[in-house]
Amino acid sequence: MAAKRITREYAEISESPPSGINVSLDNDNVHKWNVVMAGPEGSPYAGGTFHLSLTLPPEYPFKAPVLSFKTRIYHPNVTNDEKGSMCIGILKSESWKPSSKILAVLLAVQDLLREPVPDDALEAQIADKFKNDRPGFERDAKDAVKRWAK
Amino acid sequence: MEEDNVRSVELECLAAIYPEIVLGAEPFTASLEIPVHPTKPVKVVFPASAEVAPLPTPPYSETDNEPGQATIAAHVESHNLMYLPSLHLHLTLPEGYPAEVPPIFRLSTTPQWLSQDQLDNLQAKGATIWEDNEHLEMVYDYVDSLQQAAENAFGCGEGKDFQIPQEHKISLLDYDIKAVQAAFEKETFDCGVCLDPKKGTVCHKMTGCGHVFCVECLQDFYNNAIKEGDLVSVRCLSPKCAKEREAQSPSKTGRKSKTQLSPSELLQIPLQHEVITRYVTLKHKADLESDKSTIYCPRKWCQGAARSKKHRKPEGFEVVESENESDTEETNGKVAKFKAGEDLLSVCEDCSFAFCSRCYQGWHGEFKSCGPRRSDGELTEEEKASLEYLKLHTTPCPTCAAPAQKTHGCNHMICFKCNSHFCYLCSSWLQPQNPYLHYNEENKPCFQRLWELEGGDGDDVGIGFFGVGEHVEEDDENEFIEEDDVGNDLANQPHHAVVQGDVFGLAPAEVVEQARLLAPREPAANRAPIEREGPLVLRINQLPRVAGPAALVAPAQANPGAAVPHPGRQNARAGQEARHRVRANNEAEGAVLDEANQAWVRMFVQMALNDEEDQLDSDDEGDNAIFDIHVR
Repeated sequence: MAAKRITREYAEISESPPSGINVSLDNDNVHKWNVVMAGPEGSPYAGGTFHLSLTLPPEYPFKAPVLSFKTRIYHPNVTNDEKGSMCIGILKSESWKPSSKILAVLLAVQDLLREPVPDDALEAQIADKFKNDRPGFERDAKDAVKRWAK
Repeated sequence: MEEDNVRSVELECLAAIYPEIVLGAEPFTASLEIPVHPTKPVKVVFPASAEVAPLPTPPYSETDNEPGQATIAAHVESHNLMYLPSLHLHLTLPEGYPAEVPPIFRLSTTPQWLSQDQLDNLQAKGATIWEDNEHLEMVYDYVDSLQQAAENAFGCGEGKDFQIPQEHKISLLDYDIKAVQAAFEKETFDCGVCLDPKKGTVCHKMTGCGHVFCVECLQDFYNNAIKEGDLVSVRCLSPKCAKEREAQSPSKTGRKSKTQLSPSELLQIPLQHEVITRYVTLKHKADLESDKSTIYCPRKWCQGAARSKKHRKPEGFEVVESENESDTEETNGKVAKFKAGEDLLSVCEDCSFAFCSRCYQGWHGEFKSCGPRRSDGELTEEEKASLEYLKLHTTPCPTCAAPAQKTHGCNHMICFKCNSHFCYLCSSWLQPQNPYLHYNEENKPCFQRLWELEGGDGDDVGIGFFGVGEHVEEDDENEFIEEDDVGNDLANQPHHAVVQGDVFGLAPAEVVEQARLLAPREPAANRAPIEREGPLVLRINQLPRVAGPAALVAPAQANPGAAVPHPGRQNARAGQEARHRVRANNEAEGAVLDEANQAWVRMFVQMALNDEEDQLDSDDEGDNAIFDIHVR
């Protein structure tokens, strides 16, 4: 069932991709997607291009997909390292539901770029800066985009 | 003939329009079921059958003006029905129809949820239509009018509740449920998990929230979740569904279980019985584990949960509470221990093993004093030490299990609680008439051992006697040490001193205290042997005053007393047959009794045999309530 559902979801997203998001399969493996996401306009990430890797476990959709940033990003909710692990509610095992869809996950990531959630941060320092020194945060984020996401 | 033709043509037309029409055995008769599926659910109330009011049928009846109607409906439960049992139409096209004779319509419902008045009114409508159609074929028009009337449930429930006699309640509700299910099965749904469109027949609608998923996905998911023990996931698969519902009803117990599916819904999906059984078992287990007061079966191979059979309250806290209760009761030394024991009985719900919830041994009855479980850490070190002390240095009363500690004297004990006579060594019950028989019967473990532990049982006398018959052999060893140690200094005091066995806060110093209290006693003039105690009293008075809160110092402090010359044991060990035999294994210590002391012992034994020995102590009465020195 997993492959069938993934194929169906992939077809849906490919046919009518949400703005700023592009998906492709990694080596024709339906369980591994390459996602290219444009930094949303109005956010410090605008103009950047972010590559993400989406891994769908064999138990999908019973188990949540795993999503990580391949492009390094300066963001409170994404680890600021090579792994680019991230933390979003919809992917947490206790809130993942089999009828949650990949499209919703991708849109949630987009939302996270627009509006970080510092209270649920992976990078405490960045979260602090976001909360207490918003201009400084935006400057750092833009610098990071120039360095890594151009 | 032409009329026949007209009638057959009309019936053929009807059969073409309503394929479900059934032609009757009689010529020109037919019957048709007209489904009643109102566009809006009908709010139906079922008043008790005794007081069935005339059915309110607004267009036809005049009951609208009756004020009593509404009040009846107010306290009767109402149901919204989507489907009502179909209206059965039986029609006959008689000779002369349509030109001269109107058709004959007979209407009925099973059960009769439409009143006869309403049915009559609907039937009468047929004749009206026939007239309006100027005596032409009109059956289709009539059926059509019935169908239209059915869409608003024949006007029932418009404006006010539709009342149907109570006796039809079950069949109507049942019909509604089945019809809803049938309609559901005809629909097609997009399963949110596999994203495939699925027929209603292979879908399940969640009872709580109404989300629909295909049975295959639900089975896959729930089977997997239950297999992995992920009970929390056994809920609606729709994103945020459970959360939204939790938010809607925040007043609920605050547990997630509310959004979890019930076993009966899992059965409906359906899941296999074994899986549902596992789900229920795991849930129960989780509930037990989250309840701190749950007691588990001590059998290693079982370890099932146990519920105390004698819960006075239904809550699981009972066991803990009753344990605390019994502990305090023991501390207070009140008789309540008899009752407290009842709450200790636990029966394993799995293997039915009956055990004590305090000591985790097989059920030993209510009267046994037992130690607490060790590993649970509920007891403080001090409490544990006290219990350990009790175990080592007290003997339980065979009747009421109250622990008794002997401070001095012989092994004939009288319980301070229930006045039972018993042996301090083996806890045997003794005949009040002749308690010493126990020590004079050969081949009995306690033969000739009336005076063992004469100096008392406690920390100050070394490792105490355990007080159980089968331990007699090894305990002799202990006593050996004890005599060697400090037993002497308190020897020869009157027996029958029974110390109340507090569970906690036992003060070994009481031994010393007791001795001090004995001091001022004046022996009766005609009982010379008692004067043998004179030196002893003096000696005890020389003891450092260590009694009181510094209880634990007492054992150490008591030792110097042993250095004081003991007039009663300095020489003359000969001739004292009985005493000698009892003490035979202690002779090595070199304790010797002088003649006078032996004489006193002899006399005492004699008095004891006559059960008069309490006279020796009569003046002690009332000095200290703790020491019950009387034989009664």
